[in-house]
Amino acid sequence: MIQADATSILHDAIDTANQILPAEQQIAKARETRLFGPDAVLDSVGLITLIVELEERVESVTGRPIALTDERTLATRPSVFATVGSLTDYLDTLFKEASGG
Amino acid sequence: MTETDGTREHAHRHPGGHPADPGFPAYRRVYLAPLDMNGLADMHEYSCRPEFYRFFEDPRPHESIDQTRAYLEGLMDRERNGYGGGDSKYWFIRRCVDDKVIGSIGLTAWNRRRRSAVFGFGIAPQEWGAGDIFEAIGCLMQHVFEQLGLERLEGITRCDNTPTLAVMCGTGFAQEGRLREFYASDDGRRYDGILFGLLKFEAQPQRCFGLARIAGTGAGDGSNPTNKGEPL
Repeated sequence: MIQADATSILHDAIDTANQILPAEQQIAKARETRLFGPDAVLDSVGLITLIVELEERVESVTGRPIALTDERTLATRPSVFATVGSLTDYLDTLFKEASGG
Repeated sequence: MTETDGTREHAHRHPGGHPADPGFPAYRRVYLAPLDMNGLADMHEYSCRPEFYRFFEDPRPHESIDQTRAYLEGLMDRERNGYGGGDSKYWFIRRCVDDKVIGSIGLTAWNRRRRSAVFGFGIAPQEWGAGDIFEAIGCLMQHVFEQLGLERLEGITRCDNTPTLAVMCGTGFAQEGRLREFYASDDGRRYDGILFGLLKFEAQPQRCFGLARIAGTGAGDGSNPTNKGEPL
């Protein structure tokens, strides 16, 4: 059973990532913030940093690891990593599935 | 060429007729090939760019192809005579589509009794941001743990080398320590080194290939890579 707030976990991971990321790549915690791709805030280094922080945060809070680099994540359209909102929704889906909901 | 689970084996791609290591895994965009002088021109192309040396202790770009030739011969000499207190092995990182050398990756301090080695890499600045280093590290993991019999792989990077720190953390290496003032820069400054380690049972080459797809395609959506100048 996983009971976790996807928004809260992602925001915590963003806070941690923002401590590492340069000023021009600070991530605003708004659903419409474009994370990766054309006109997005993050370059590939920044995105990998956020992914690592998020995976660690999820495991820390839920006690279960998640993989954000697996085939399912990569195949999801639109991209999971397009915006803060799309990443939140994907996390929420994973949590609900793990909870049987 | 065989293909299993998205991973291919290139046994005959080298333009000079020098085969890649038999059975050596490659992936979608890059493969690893033995060093030889056929890669000299490509290697020189990036070895003369100042930004390539941003985190090097000796940040002097090569001014002539003879300098690159001497450097390449030095790497080959390390393969024959060892380096860093153990054996050494290097590979060119070649692009599958045209065999162009876009960097190198290698092992030093390879201790055959301990089954451990230290690895390092360099990617051409013009290729930064495409995520090819993740493919190369995934290939290296498969090769060193499945073919060479290593049980442990180490890496050390400068504490302010944010791109490489992200690569090491992203590919599953554990941060094992901080080596105080490990690096001595040409400008007289000293920098701490961050020691990373990966054990055989922890290796996740498929994760590396996933990261390569994410970094190289704008989150896997088929758009152009976002290359903002960082060496991934």
